[in-house]
Amino acid sequence: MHLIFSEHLDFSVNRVIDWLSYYNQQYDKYIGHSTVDDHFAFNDKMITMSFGGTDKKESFIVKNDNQEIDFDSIWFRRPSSDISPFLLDFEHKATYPKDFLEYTIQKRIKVFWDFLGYKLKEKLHQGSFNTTGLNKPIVLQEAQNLGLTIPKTLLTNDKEELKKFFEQCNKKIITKSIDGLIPQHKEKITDNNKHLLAYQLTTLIDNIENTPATFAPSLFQECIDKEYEIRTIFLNGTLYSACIFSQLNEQTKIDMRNRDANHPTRYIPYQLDNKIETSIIKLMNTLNLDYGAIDIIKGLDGHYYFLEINPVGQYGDVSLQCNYYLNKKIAEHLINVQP
Amino acid sequence: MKDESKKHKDFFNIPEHTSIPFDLHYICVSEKENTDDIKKFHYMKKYKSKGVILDFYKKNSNILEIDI
Repeated sequence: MHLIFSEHLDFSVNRVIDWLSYYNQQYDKYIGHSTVDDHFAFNDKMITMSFGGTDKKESFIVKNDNQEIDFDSIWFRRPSSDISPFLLDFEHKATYPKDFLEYTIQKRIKVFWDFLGYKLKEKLHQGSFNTTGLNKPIVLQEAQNLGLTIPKTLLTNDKEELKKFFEQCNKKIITKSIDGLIPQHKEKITDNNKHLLAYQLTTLIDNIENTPATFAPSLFQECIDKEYEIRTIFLNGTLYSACIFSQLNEQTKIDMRNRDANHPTRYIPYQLDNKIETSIIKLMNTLNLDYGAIDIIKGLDGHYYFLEINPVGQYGDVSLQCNYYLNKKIAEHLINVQP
Repeated sequence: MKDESKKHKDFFNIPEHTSIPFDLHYICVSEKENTDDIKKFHYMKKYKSKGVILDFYKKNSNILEIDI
């Protein structure tokens, strides 16, 4: 059985499942805490892992209704570190606070959960159990060390240094989040069938005077005037690139995710320079990743600027628009068949 | 699409403070229609092994109505 760690709504996974079905494979999807009862769950299984001793004999058994499950492969598409499915409520009458006890239990279960992921990684797998996000400044620094060009970058909590940087960058800088915002918060609006959704896009700063005077250490980069954007999918050592003409629409110029539903952005397949491809592959190997969605921009100055890697980024748009058949390639990797 | 209006700006009222990163002052807020994901999931399940690609969740989908 092929087990896929995913999220409730991750449509790319369903396309891979279509290909697994095409190859007559058994599969199941784990999405953490689920209200859909026919998804795979771990908290209703009997799990045993043994190792050590002089004979170093190892076993890893997951049972469902006394039947052992045989995992052929694991796809860590979007693995969850959420252990809440294991934390069921219990009666507590002691003086020791229940919160403290629950925290203590969580720490123990997290150790077990991480070890379970570690053992699952011994199977044929795709993706990483642990890496769902990367430290953006570290990745930028490593990318530069491996020969990639990155935009001028500043991390500071000093407004005066920010002002100097702003001047150096021709009064055009961008601010972007260095980690996520909890997007699941959906504030209901009363009186209608709508809710509020919070998210972050890359923001252009072209006037420094009206910005906050005090702030925590934050990341700023020079705003590169783009010719076009390149989205590259790294999958098991191969790069699949798309050129994205985000500059043809005012709305997608700064952040291409700010899409215009009535004017879809044009994508075409793209071949990156050999030297850049080699540097990206070295970077992915340094970060120990077999998958990543990489953002690059081609500046009007002719340089290729590496921006970031999302280790669980979406590949569906690049695959579909450039005919890369990445869903099929992922399914074939999981089944271990040669295309 | 990013909502440029000031309609829901009070949803986040981020103060200037030495512990609050700069980028948090630029959080975007948009209105979205409520959808029932579970119904969509059950609908999609009917097709998951038939190799059919369904972009019904997109607004410009060619599927006008979902018969659940």
